[in-house]
Amino acid sequence: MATTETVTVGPLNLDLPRFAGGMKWIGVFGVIGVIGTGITLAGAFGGNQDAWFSYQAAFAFWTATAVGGLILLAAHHAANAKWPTAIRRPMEAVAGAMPVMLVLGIPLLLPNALSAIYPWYHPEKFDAELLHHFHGHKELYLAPGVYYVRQAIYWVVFLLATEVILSWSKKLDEVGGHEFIRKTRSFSAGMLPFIILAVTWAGFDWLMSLTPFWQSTIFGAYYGAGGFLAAIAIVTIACLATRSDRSMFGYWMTKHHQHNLGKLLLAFVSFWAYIGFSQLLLVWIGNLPEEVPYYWIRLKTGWLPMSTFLIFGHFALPFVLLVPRTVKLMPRLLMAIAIWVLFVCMVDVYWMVLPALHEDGPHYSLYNFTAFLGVGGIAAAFAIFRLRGRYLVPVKDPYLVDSLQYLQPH
Amino acid sequence: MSRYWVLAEFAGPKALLTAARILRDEGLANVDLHSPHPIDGADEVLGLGASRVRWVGLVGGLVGAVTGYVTCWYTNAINFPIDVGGRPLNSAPAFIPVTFEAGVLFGAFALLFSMLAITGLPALYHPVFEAPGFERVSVDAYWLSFSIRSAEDRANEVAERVKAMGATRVSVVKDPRLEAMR
Amino acid sequence: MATEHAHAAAADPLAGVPVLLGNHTDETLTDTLFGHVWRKPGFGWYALFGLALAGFGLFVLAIAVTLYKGIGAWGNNIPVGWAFGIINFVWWIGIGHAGTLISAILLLFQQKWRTSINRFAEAMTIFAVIQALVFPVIHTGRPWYAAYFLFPYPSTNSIWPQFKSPLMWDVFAVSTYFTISLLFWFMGLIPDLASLRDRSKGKLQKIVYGILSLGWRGSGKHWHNWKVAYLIMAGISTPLVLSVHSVVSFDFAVALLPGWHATIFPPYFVAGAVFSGFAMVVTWIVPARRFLGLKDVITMRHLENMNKIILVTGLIVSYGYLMEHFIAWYSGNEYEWSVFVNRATGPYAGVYWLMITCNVVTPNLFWFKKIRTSIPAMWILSILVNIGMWCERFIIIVTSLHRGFVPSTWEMYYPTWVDFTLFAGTIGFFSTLFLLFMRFLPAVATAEVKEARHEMEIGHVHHHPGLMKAGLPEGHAAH
Repeated sequence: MATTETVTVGPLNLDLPRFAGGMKWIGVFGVIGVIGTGITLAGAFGGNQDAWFSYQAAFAFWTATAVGGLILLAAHHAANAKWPTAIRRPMEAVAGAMPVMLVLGIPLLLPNALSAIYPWYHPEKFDAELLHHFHGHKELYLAPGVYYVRQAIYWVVFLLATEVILSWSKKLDEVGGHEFIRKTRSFSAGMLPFIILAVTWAGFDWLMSLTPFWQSTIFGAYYGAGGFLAAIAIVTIACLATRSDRSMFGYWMTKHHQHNLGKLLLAFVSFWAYIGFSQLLLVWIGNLPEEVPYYWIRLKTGWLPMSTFLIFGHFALPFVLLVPRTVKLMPRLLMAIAIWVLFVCMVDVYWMVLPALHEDGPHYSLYNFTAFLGVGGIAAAFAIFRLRGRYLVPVKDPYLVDSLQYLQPH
Repeated sequence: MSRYWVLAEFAGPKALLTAARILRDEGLANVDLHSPHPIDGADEVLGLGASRVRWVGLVGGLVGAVTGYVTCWYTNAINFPIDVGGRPLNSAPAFIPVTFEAGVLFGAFALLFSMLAITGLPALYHPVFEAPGFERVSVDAYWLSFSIRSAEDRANEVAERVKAMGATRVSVVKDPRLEAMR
Repeated sequence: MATEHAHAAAADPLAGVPVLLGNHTDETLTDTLFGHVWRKPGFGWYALFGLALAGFGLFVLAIAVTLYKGIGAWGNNIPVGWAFGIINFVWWIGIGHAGTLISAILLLFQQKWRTSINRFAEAMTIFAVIQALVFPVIHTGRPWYAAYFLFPYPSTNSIWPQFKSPLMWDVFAVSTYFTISLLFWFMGLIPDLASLRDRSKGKLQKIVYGILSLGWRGSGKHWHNWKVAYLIMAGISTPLVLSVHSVVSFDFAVALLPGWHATIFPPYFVAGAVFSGFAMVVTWIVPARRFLGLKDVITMRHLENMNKIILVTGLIVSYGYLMEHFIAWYSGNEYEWSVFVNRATGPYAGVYWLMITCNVVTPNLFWFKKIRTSIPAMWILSILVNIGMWCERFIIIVTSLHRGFVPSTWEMYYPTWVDFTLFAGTIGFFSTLFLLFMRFLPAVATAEVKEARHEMEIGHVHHHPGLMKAGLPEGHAAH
């Protein structure tokens, strides 16, 4: 009697070519990226605050997405999950954008940026009450030097985790066997707490400190949950978009994997709503003067429509759509939902950042679009570029066969 | 004419499904299977479409959620307005927990009762229990059952045919419930 | 093919211990898993049951004293108006959460290993929630009047409950949770109750199990609807279990008290609940699998997986602590920060450091496989976790209350003997119920284990779209 959960058929050597294409996409994303980033940064250094805030939002969003991909990847390894093996490469690609995110973040470390974006950079402008709080503890914590040290720590964690996991994945493609899987598994489990702590504090630094009075203990989880959801959406889109090419991961995604991706989307759309509701309810019902302005601005001014849009667009609509099993199994519809989810995740970060600049309501500017497209374009081009020369399916992974024969229970 | 239940035991789930499929193809409508655990593929052989309990559960959940919200709103904002620290009388965020819990509560009851209604449970007595050996169904036996309204010899004839399909044991039980109703 | 399989298994150092050991058929499974129901209980069971009944005696005594003397018999008073009652309530509710989590979330995640432990954990949920409910109900002072202000019905007072209060949300959340847990548990039990009915020797047993099983015939139609209903029940139980402890956390977080008003409370309470719940499952299942002869279905794999969940949820709890402390400091709010300083250095510092040791330090021992798979180590650690989680609730509740904004309101809290007796009594009552459960009902969901066994055996006849793409014949597999 077989007592193992899956039936083992031994190693499976798929005869796949290494990835040599993608130049078209690298070109398209690269051009969009360079133009978008160029326009935004030009505006920013020209002293336009909208450009700085948009760039900050776009950077925060795409970095959270890359970190989300990293968490997805590390969690899949740490949990010993075999089913995602066939579609692991797109997770690695999302995380693989990490180095370019660091480069894209450098302008935001310059004094011009800190000065334009963060009120704590100019405490002399604070009123007496704010200044009192600021002198409490934030003064030391938010001093630029300390701020830079923290940024360095986050990036060491993000880059170390990403690059080690990716380099072992590359080695696994060459030698196969269990050794690198085992190492990745332990490493991922050990790194996950640090990644999560780093993204939490990054959220505090990058977004929460935009409003110096505002603090919420769940903020890091809210920020991380959005990035994680965006990463799942991108993996879903990538798999569904490459279904017809045998050398691509999308071809090897069975309907059972697709179903699981749909379930993940559903779960983390709900998780986002849960975290968001917890924060909203407690701040709203507490009505403390130091906390409530964050929501006051978003609910009692011109930002209300966008807040309402998030409740329905970021939660209710995708939730209702994703519940039926049949929808999760429809490639085109699922693709549309995943694109929509990616879009609303961007809106969510926009909604966290821009009200700090325009307290009366949204003032849309060209930079809003150039920033998100620009930073995302460069990140995507870089991520695809890194896939060149790789197998798009972990061909020598001992669990590839388990992944391919993975079945949903009925 | 009486109602007779023909019961046949098969060696395993596969043999059971094969026999059930043949009988259904012949036009017997009320074939049922009895097994110690759900059998993969049984729904299709028995021609059972998607279970309706999910829809009843959904409606129950929605009714519950609406009831929950309306209770909070009607009692605290309309019938006896309660001002709590200046918060709005109709405080949607504060009413969501009760709305959610009531939705779950009603939904779960709808699920349970619709399952019982559709399966006809509780039914403490059923003629199939009369067949010797049927009690193993909850342990490791696989049985097939169907009822026909006919004379006794016709029922025995059918039973012989089922035996020919590979049944290891066949019983014919007269439905005493119909007798009692007469 | 068999050798190839054996070879492949040997080559895979990461393959775990199987979820089902031994060479079982459906019949031997039934006999093994029901064995403890038919066997006459031994001396050990009676000894434990006697002990538990003695504990239940304490429960009756403490309630009698409380009702006779009034709530003044408890140690809570202004400013610590909430103490043992709510500490124990939250502790017990939290313990219950593992049951629902195992049943519902693991079912949705298709974790096959859950079938061996879900019945056990669900029973624990129900019994734990009963204990939890005792505290707020008794704390009302005159419980027979409680319904007047807890449920919205048109009373002669012509006022309604105040629905903007988290305490009202709690009434709805906990009562819904208890009801759903019971329904879910019962629904899962029906096929096994039918099995018990069919294996019963005595007439009384046959009648009782017969009525409880509702006349289940294991028919295709039964299974068809049962499966869907059960799965959806699991689906709605998952957000339910998250909501329940979130609502419990709202009891504190909605208040503006320093140390309570933190947005991280809902997920952090849920994680803490799962953490303590899994620990309680380990505490009970380690001896139970031995004495009920369930080692074949509750293997080291189950225990190790549960310990991993304890580790993960322990880390989430630590994350919650870290956020609370950091934001208290970062906020620059001196009241908020002084609560945390007081927790670590004030009169209750001992409890605080015990909490940190049990909840933050010791779960990290589960990083080591040796400890994760050592029966004595996991048993001791699981008890430490439950001690730690009790201390956590004590710290949250008592330290935030005992020192208000003005030093003139500062007052120490000391529990009375009635507080301790009632708490010990609920442990006795819980143990009584659990021992009765293990005496009269199958501790393992037998029908589900059988289904899982069949799936494992015939798994390879399925249609594997992924393998077909790889050019392998459909269903190509060893057996």
